[in-house]
Amino acid sequence: MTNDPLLSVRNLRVSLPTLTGPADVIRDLSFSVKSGETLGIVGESGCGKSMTALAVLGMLPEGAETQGQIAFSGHDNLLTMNDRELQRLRGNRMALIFQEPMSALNPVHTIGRQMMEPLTLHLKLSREDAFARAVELLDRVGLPFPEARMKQYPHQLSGGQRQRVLIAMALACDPDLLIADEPTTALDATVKNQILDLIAGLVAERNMALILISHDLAIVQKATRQMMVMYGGDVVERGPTADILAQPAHPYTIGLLGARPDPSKVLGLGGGKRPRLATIPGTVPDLQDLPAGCRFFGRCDRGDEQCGARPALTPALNDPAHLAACVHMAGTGASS
Amino acid sequence: MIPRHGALILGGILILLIAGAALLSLVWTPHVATEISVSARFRPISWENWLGTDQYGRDIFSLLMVGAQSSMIVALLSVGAGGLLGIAAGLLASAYGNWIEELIMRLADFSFAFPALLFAIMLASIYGPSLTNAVVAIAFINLPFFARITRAAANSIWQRDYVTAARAAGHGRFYITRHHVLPNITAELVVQATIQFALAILIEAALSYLGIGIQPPTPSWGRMLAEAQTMLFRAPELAIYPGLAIVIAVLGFNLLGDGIRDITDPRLKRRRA
Repeated sequence: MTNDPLLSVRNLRVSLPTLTGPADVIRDLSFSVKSGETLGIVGESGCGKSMTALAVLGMLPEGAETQGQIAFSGHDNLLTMNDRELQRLRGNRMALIFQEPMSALNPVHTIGRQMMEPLTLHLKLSREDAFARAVELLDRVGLPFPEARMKQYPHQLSGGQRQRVLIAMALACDPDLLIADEPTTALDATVKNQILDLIAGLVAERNMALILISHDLAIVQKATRQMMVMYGGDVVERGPTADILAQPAHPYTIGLLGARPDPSKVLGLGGGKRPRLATIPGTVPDLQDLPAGCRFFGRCDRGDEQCGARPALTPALNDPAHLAACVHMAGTGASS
Repeated sequence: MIPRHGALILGGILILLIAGAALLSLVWTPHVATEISVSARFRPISWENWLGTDQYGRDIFSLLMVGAQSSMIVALLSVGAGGLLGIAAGLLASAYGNWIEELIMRLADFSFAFPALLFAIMLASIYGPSLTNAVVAIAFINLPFFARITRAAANSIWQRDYVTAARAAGHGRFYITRHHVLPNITAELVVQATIQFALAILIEAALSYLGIGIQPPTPSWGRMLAEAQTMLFRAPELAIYPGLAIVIAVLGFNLLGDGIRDITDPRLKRRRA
């Protein structure tokens, strides 16, 4: 195992065309992931977390403009590669697990046929070998009766079973990098934990790198060791998952953590009136009207004239591994 | 109440009737369809001539059977050719988008601007009337219909998650089109093809009626109508029989198309159940 990062994103900027001209959905994003590392990306809808995944896969919507560099496993910059070269990496060296297991399988083909597709495409396996490997994979992801499943159609499977199939498909070529975009959002709470355990187990077993994208802090806490919090196309906080969740430094992260419902209070177990859930005031800024400086300015209770310039990621709480982009971090400990 | 699959069954029966007659005419007709006999003119319905004879003494039932053959061949070839090219154009437009899609769709718009019959007449007047030219003209008329419906249907499939999943798995546009898009729009295309079949039969009849479709002595429904025109007061049934044949064929294909849509469209199925 080398110490070089497997995936390294440097100064990535992505802008999408809008009616009033291009808008930056990702502004100067840098991060890296090594083999065997797990990185969680957290944020509200529209903060740029899914765009980050699409940019890495080279699947940004048409008209998107990019700057910066995405180095991956010996390739200098994925952003300058053409579609054919990227196709050889996708599914093979890097794989994506989807949010919606209900619609990510083609209804007209059997599970077997869809399972065998990547195997015959990337690994050039024969039909018999591909079938055997597909059965093995389905068995590994904990799908009972894998051989019978191969002949079934997606509608004959439950949501959890389909997500297992999709995970098996993503693993088919033993990718180095697994990107899971809200992999458990569409699943029941009980199935959610099983799937999460499965992904975490597979990542450890195969020494893959995992990027887990979610708005659910609980699953990021469970499945990742590093995390970054995104807001309005910027990383606002980055560091070890446990540290950030224990001592958030950025006002947005603090708000996000504060907005988590406390089960004992919500259920009224502690007695007394049930409190309202905490919220972050205001809404996510419009893409066409993003603040020039700190993008959380306007919703932040600490905002002042210093926030007009874009804050850099600086060590928080004297911990060099834990970075946050806020000029007012001094009062961290005593916040709401 | 119409039974659940009423349209499908009735349409199927009508088409089987016409197609059966066309096939049978290849090996057997009650009389030789093109045989002219002065002594046998204007015979009424009898055991000898099931629908009587026309002004040249030809057996009308035999003429209708052979005419069905002409209609079916022209419709099959023209919808086949127009369909293949149109579907290919639509899939291409949908897969590549951008200026390719714009170009193909504007070309389709452009060809829609030409009245179908006028285009066929133009072709016939340049290259002379023949079966081939009729087929080419009708195929050309069919093409933009298929291109449009294919593109619209394919575009909706390209938005599906399983297509994004296939892209994330490293598949190219061609592979995705063949394995994901096409299988999921087949039902819609089959429905469209059946309806285009009805249209092709109508246009073929119109061309033959105008004398620029199938040439004599090969019998066709359109020309039977044209020939009956001069005898409209003396023997109106001569016009009624080929007219009925056209109605049956067109109605049959339209019902069949409706029926197929009903059984393949889950939304309609739910509403009826």
